Amino acid sequence: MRKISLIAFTILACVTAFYFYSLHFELPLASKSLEPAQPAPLSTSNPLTWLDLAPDGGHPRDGFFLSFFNGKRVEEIPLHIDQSNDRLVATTPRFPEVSFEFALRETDRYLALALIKASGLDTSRDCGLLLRASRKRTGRVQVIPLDYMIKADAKSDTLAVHWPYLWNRHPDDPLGSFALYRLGDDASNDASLTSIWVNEDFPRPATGEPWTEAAVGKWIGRYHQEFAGLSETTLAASNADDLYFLSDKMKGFGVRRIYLHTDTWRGEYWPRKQSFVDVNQEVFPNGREDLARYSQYLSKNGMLLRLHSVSAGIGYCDAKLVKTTSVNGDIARWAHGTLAQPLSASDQEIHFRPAPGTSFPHLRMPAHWNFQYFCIGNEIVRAKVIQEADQPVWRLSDLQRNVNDNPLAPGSHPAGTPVTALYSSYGQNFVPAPDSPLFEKMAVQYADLINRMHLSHQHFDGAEIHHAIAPWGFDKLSAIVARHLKHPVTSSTSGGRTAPWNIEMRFSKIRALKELGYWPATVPVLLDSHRNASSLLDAHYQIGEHLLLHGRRLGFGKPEPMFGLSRQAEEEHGLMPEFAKLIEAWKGAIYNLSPAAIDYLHKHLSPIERPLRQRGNHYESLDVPVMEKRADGFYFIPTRVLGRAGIDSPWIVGQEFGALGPRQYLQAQTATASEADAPPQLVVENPHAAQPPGVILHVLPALGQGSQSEDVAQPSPPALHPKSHNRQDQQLDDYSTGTHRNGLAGDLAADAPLSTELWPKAGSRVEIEQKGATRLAFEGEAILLNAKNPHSAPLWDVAELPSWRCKIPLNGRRGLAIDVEGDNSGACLVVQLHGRGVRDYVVKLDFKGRRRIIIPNGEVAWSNAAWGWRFDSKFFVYDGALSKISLGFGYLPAHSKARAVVHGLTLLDNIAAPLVNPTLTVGNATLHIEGAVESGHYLTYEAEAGARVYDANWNFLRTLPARAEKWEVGPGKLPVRLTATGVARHQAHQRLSPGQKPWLELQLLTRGPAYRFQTLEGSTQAESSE
Amino acid sequence: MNLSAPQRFLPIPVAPLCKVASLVAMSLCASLLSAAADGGKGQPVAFTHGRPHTLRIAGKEVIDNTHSSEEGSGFFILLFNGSELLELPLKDTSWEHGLLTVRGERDFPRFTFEARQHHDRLELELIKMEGLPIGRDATLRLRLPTQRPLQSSLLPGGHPAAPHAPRASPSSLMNGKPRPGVEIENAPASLTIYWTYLGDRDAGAPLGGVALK
Repeated sequence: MRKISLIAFTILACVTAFYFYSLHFELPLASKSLEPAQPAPLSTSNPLTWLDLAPDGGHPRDGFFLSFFNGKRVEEIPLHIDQSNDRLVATTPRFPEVSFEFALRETDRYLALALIKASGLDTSRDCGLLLRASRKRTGRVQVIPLDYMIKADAKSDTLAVHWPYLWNRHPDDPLGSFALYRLGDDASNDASLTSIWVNEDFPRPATGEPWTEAAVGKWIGRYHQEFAGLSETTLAASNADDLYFLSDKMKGFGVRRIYLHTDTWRGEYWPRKQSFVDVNQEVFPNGREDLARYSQYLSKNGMLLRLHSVSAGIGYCDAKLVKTTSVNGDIARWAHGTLAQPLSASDQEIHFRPAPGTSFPHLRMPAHWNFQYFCIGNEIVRAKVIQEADQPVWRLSDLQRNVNDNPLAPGSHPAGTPVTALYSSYGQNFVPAPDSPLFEKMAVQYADLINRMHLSHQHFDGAEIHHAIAPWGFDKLSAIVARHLKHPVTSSTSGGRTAPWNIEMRFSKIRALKELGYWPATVPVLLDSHRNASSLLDAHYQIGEHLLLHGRRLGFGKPEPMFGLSRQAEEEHGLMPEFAKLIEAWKGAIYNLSPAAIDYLHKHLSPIERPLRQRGNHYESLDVPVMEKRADGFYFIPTRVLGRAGIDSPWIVGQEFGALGPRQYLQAQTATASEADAPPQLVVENPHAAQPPGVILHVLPALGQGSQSEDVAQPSPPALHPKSHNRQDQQLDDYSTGTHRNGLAGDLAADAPLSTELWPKAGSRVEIEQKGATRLAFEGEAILLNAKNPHSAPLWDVAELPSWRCKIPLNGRRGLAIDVEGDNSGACLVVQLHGRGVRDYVVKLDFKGRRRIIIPNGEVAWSNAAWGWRFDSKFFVYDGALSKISLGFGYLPAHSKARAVVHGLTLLDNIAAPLVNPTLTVGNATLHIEGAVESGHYLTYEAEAGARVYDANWNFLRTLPARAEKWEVGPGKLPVRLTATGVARHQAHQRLSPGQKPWLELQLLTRGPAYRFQTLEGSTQAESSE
Repeated sequence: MNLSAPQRFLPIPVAPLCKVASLVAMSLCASLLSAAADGGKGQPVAFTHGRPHTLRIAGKEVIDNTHSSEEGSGFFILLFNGSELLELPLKDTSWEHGLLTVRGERDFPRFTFEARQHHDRLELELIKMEGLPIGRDATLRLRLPTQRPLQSSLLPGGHPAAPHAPRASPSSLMNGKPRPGVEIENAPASLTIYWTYLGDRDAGAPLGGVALK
């Protein structure tokens, strides 16, 4: 009955639509004169009727289209649809030879359409087939691709289905099919999805049982049971003892799933010598057997296992596929040819004669594709320079021979030897050709790993590596995996989405599990290293921020690669008990947060709009939403690190970096009568009501130059040579391709000069690489810099600065001194230190004349509002060596010129110098503390807790006597001054010079009105502010 | 007035030998004028991070720097991936030996231009193209914001009907369409040049260029 009504309605709609169409709508000029006056009537339903469209769309932007590129823009040619029962044919008089034939299947739950024949097209990649409908017409219809040759796009205003790969001619690939279903209530949607999953060829698990509607219901129930309330922590271990120790700890903290990154379970981030499913025998000595045992151990303890994976890549030295007598022919290649001239073992230039018709791969090639790898016989050669690529013979030079470390490679190759060019992803991995048996084999291998190890997750990080030849490569790979899975698994891809065939996520019961989203809600656990150890404020900010990214999966995590919580971090971070309490508190609220709580966060946090390049989609805020669980419910307390508008950066979460808050850098003054009336060192602003402020003081080393007397406490002397490039470093480099690309500090030659001066010595030949807008020149011991921004927009030369190479050991030094003659141009002068990672040191030229500026470390720039944190400066090894220095104007205002003269660019030595008897004055409030706080330690003060000293990893050490006078700050601007009466005495004792006082990071805290929020299952009381 | 129609004036025919000679001469002159690669300083066309900041014709600056940093200015590769038009910026530009080289990420695609300054006009010709997929209907687009409307004409190879013009694509979808070449869109405040169907050019055929005054 319903079907009959639908058909009647459809016919009526068609007739009506045609009538109005003939009255009001015009086709594009080219088609108007060519289209037949009256399209043939439709005999039954089809996607157009489902979408309430006329047979030819009925609107210039609705219907089926053939789209192609005319050299300047994309043209869309409306297609005319003829229907005969369950067949549709789409044609256009403009290209009479082109036609598309579709097969239709309609049930009471859905309509499926499959392209079964595309005629009249050549192999051009520049055309596509498109079905598009405005949401104003479609009503509530949803689309789901049924195979990997379809791209469906269901937006709020438009529904679109693309067949973008019409040029593909591999007979084994489908041409593209999809299903439409009408959206209703949850039960109706679930029923439609079930019907599609059961009746269409959508990838289904290999349960070994009939795939019926009952089986789907059971599967979804099992899925929900497995993953509801999921919490997760990434662990990093280098042996089994540590792994089991940490797993037991996580069980104690109530963590449900253990996540192991490739550094732990595989031992190689990108497969290098091993295959992508091999197991790290340092952690699992018996390989898969031990990994399976570990998985069973977790299972017995009610926990799940997830393994990180970067899809199905092939290592350059893969023993079975690459480092062999014959490099596997199923590895993806983009060019074939021969050697035009013989190649000896010592030759550093290759003459490659590509086969006729050879060309570079298609251009949808983001930076991660690398065209430099060539296979000559069974030797892989990397050619960094390719010249004359428009000629019959290409010249390949700057060679790295035998990249595959193949002892079987002959070394020399006669002319005529076959040469192929291999796709290389991120310069790290080869990939299987998407139509090859190897491709399918590797997909099945991954499914087998999931099944046998009972993994609870399929992970496709680096999914894009399979797009080399075929943009559908990853969708095809994941479809094969999905057809071989035997138990429910969650999924994720590098695009931040679930795998395309993880249809369970569309079912209402599973969709409601926000803990299965891409983002976790992670408490960062990081020990003091190249940056500060993570703090409780960091933890509150990061969880609050992750909530806005829909993160609900609670857990601990290292906020930077390789992301795993190590045993050392678990045991040595002093705040672990506090972090665990925070997670426990959030467990009561996070799975059922009310929309009002999220609205509250949105009012305080906004998307990051920093001028420097950020990655990911993160939020910034002046306030930290500190969460408190009280007897009457949950509260957010907006907590402010008092700052200076336009000078201090707000809180942010950096991609793969975690929370980063504002702070001020200063040195304690010596309290003398003459300085008592000295101007304040800072003026910060308190936005909140009068209250006693909190204080966090991080004591940094004093900074000096040259050798100190022998009895001065010094950090333990670092080795002259930087750490060797160990496997962990290698994994980091593999992961952080940015760091890798920026170049590593080379090993220092044994006779490399120990120097703290960063400019070249007079007379030494240094080649300046001029880059970006700045022009740099050395003149004696001065460095001259000029730049011009003729544009109407500010110019950010973030990574485009002049540079010169160097080999300078850092020996842990972080501080930098620079004499600058400024021009008050408003430009930012930036020094970038390149070693293992990059650090920025920034001077804003808001002054004229010469100034000597000390920057205590490379993290100062992160909290500088004129510059800030950027992804490429997130990591640095201060114990390594510098390989390059960049210097120039990183920022130039619109229509500006900048000029600066730099002298004395010098690294400063760390000098351990405690802060002694500090007195902090904030507005009219004064705090006196008795005692010393060593370099690296924290001093905190709160009215209730008093003055407390923590080590660099927030382990509580002791309290100190404190005396507060009028310890309350009102709203508004507050002058800040810090003195230390013990500095002079201590300096005399340690024979430090007067300028060698400890540097300090200061954070003054005030709290705004608390906001009580409810959970959806909580009290019915309205949310309120105190 | 149809602003998109090119304002034609006599193009300078360039024979292959003359071309080589002029190329060498240009290289020498440029080497003398600019001691080293200087990011375009002193050159008739120059860019910062792919954004044009100089266009000098007959000794006069005609670039409009108030709009030169706008989206779309500079060199772009246009191509269609079957569902959307991609506009890929080519930000890496350099002057070496009197030739302007424009590169994509990781060095490819790579385009080399010759710029010839005459007393009354500037000629910009694409003389070399590497690393572009064959059969792919890619277009190279250069957009320059200008202070005044420019007069423009096509150099050999730019005319679709020229004897040595590139062949038409074998694609059935190309039937009946203009043959590939160079197209110019002249607007009061900007000039846009399209080198179309670069993946379908015959080896050895001129790639085309423009003369501006």
